[in-house]
Amino acid sequence: MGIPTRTSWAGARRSGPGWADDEAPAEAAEAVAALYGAHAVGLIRLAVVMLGDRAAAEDVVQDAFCGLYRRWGQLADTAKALGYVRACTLNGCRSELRQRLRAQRRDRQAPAEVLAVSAEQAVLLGEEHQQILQALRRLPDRQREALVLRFYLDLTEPEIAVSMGISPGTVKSTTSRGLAALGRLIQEAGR
Amino acid sequence: MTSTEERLRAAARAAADTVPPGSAPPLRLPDVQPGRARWDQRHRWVRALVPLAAAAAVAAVVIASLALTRGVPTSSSGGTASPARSAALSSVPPYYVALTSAATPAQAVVRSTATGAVVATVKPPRPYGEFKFVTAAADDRTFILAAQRWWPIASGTRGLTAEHRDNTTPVVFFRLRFDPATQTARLTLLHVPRKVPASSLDGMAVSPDGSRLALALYPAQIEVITIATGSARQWAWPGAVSSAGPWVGNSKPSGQPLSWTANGRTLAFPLTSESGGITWVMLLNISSPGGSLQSAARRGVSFLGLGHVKPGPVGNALITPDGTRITTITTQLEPSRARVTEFSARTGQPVSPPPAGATPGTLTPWSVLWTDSSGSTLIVNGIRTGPSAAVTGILRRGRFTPLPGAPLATDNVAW
Repeated sequence: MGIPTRTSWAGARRSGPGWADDEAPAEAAEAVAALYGAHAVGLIRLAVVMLGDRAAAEDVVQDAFCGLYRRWGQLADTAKALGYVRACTLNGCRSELRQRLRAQRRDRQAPAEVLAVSAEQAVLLGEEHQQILQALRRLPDRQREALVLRFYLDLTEPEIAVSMGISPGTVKSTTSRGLAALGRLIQEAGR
Repeated sequence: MTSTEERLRAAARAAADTVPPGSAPPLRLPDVQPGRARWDQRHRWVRALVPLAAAAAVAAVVIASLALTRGVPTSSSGGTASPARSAALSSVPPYYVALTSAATPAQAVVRSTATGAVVATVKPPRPYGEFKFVTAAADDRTFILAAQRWWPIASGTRGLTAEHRDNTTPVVFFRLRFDPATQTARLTLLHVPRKVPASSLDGMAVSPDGSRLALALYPAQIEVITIATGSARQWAWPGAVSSAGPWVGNSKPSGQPLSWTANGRTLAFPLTSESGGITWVMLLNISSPGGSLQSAARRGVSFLGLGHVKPGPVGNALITPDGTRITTITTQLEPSRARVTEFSARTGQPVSPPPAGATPGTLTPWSVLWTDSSGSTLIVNGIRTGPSAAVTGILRRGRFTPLPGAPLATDNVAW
């Protein structure tokens, strides 16, 4: 799993010393488990949108929560834990897609084959939805993440900027480019 | 036919709905204890040394006080500066400009490199709402800023009108002159006839002498503007209109994507591929005829085919002012660890050992923010093990010297 987006990481770090060690493990396990109970399904859904594969999505989210658990003592503000684990999930999805693309180059597979949804997803999703999500996964990392945060999670511009570690102005241009590129890819696929 | 964003929204919801509520698998936490607690458990003996450490700290303060009275050079923050720290600080520019975003509010802040102290502040003149990029000339007094209008947008599809208006409104460029004697900064609007929509600008770099401004324009265009006259030359990568790239810049705004050699003849820029990592660092000879970026530029470093270096992600890459090195952050495959790597600009091969020395094992670098003439002193940022975590500092002779108060976002700072 990659490092979290730098803005959310920096904002979530504690500058002073950690907690008393007697209470640390129990507190961390309980807090992370509670956060998992409340948000795991939402984050798995986010990862499924990004990856199209339920098993890979569950792995990414599991890794994100394990990372949060390991670093719990360094959080400056535990209220930011959800933002942290969301950034970890996005990074995990990015790494997974890059690994697939590297495998594609190595094995000379077609991009559509690499980015295709799992058999389970193919059954559950209609053809048009599959086409759009495949096009989404062919976008550059930043455009794909901006579109999903904006149009799936309905985050505000400042929230997207913090999650991705970019300026609000860049959120706008990235979203705009992503939409335009997605429209082109959908058109190409429809021909 | 519904719009693209509505189709995307529907498809994403449909994919998300394949995960029913309550269907998450059980959480499996690792056996290891979380960060600090684990350290504490393994190092309980350290507690026995606390009184000793306190005594040592008192002794250190006394020694430092004596040193102050004897005129030992000190840092401007008031503490004593070690020789290595003093040497590191004296090898980098004493001031830099950092931008803050519209939410905080937007301004450009001149800071002291050694102390992080704010020495001057300027706000974007109305009607502009945000500085988008900053770049520095070699004199450490001249900075160029790009400003945009910036309207806040709502989440989802409700903000598309404001977003379109913001993206299509041209950016403007200001020169910021900083006077260390008076600790003041003054903005001057530059006459640039070319209208650059805010969404097209991906990065910029002023030439070391401050006479020319290079712009990275989406998707794959370089424009060099002569500031005194406003005249411009453009080079475009042929056929680069697809989302699959390549495009000029990097996948995240990590550090400056453009950099100049000291003689102002060569401009280095990254070409980024579909996977989001830099694929090539290209070297553009700005006196080359024609408008094809492919013809006018040559490959400085190719990250494809380098067996020991991942093709991505690479945050950014800078050419050294003497033109001999290209310095960047790479991730080695085995063992997997990010480090500063310097390549020969002539051969494209890694230089070993790197002129700035090996990256300390306690530092996971993100981006190279500044380089001296030959790449032997760098300013980088990243994550350091220990409580201080995210840091910006000087890498010199394999030693990392943190800079207090330096910003952690990397697309909005210039030395």
